[in-house]
Amino acid sequence: MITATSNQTVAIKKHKPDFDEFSLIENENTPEVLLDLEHFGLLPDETINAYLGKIKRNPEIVNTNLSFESKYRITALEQEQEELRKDFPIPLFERPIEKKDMFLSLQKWEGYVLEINKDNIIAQLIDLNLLGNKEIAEIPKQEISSSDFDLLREGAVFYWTIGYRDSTSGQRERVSTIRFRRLPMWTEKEILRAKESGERLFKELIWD
Amino acid sequence: MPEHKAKIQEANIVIRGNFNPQIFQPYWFGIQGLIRKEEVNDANVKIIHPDIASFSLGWMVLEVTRDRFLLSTSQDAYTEVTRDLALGTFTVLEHTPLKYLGVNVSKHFEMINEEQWHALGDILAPKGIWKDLFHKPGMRSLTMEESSRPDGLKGYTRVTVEPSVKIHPGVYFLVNDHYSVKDPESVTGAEEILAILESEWYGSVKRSNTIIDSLLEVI
Repeated sequence: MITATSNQTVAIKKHKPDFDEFSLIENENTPEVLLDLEHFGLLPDETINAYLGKIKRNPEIVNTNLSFESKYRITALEQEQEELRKDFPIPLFERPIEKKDMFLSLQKWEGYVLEINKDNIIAQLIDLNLLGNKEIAEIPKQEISSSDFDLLREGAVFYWTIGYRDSTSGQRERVSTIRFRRLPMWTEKEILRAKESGERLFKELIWD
Repeated sequence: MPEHKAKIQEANIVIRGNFNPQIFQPYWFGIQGLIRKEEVNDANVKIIHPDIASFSLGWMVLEVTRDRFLLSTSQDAYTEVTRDLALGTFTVLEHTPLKYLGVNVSKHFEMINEEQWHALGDILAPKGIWKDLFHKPGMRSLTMEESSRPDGLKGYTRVTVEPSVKIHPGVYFLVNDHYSVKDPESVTGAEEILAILESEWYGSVKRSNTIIDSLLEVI
């Protein structure tokens, strides 16, 4: 299903497969849902084309503003859903809004691993709330997810966030999250390019 | 307002260009080392099709069509991780022509009461000129634009304020920080947009938060 966190929705206003009738409406009191993207693979190509055509026709999304998924959730008006089901060979589903856990950070740092010890790491932390504030911290290895252990090396970058996670069931938890940065390995070509750029810069330097 | 903590927030990166949606599968991201192996297995794949690909992990949603790449997170702890995922993706797909970049921040705030909720609307859109036209005028949506960027890059910043439809009484802010490459028609790779994303992202998010906080300060 196209999940949503935003302000407006798109409704299928007619029961015929006429996607020109997609229109923007307010989401208040509009029953959720619709074209379930989990089943989109089952839809006829023309439906997908019409759906994508709608995206292209709407001038607002030519820009880079609202997320497509959040602004253009597709919904069906309740009274028309039965007819939609009869006339329209597309699975339609009524679902509640897909709720997500929310994470509100109290403090965020970007860290660089300086030293790896048996039970802990020593890292330089940059406060992301007050950009520029630096401090050195000792962090127990237990805080690091096993999935990120292969990224743990001197110089590795990670993000450490302490905050509240509000679960969809209403439970608030105080949590600490460490996530290592994942970027592609540098290729030989890139290293060569960086080296050349460095050499060029060095030559351009004027020494007093 | 005594406390400026958003009840709901989302950060997303929208890139316009030419994409091959079928590439954007969890498996591909896993192979490239851009997401964890466990996340590949747990990904919620909605569709992989030549025209559209969409899947989500616990912390992000990805949706790609032939001309649009969207990466979104509603978890504050993952905003930098989301940026890195976009950077990593197009570092690998370096020959993808990328033309425009949107760094977007949206937030929903709860207001203390309806009076405060109306007060914000009245300050942002004074009702004086509407009084003779409407019995009870109200602001539904307001968008302001800075059409030249403070960093000298091509693009603009748009701020939209609306009553929240998620929280009542609440207000919704969206800041769309839009960047363009120098010549969108002749762009042949990802380099220019990646450079902007890398150098401007922190400043953009910070500016968006400052704008939203400043608007909340007026009431």
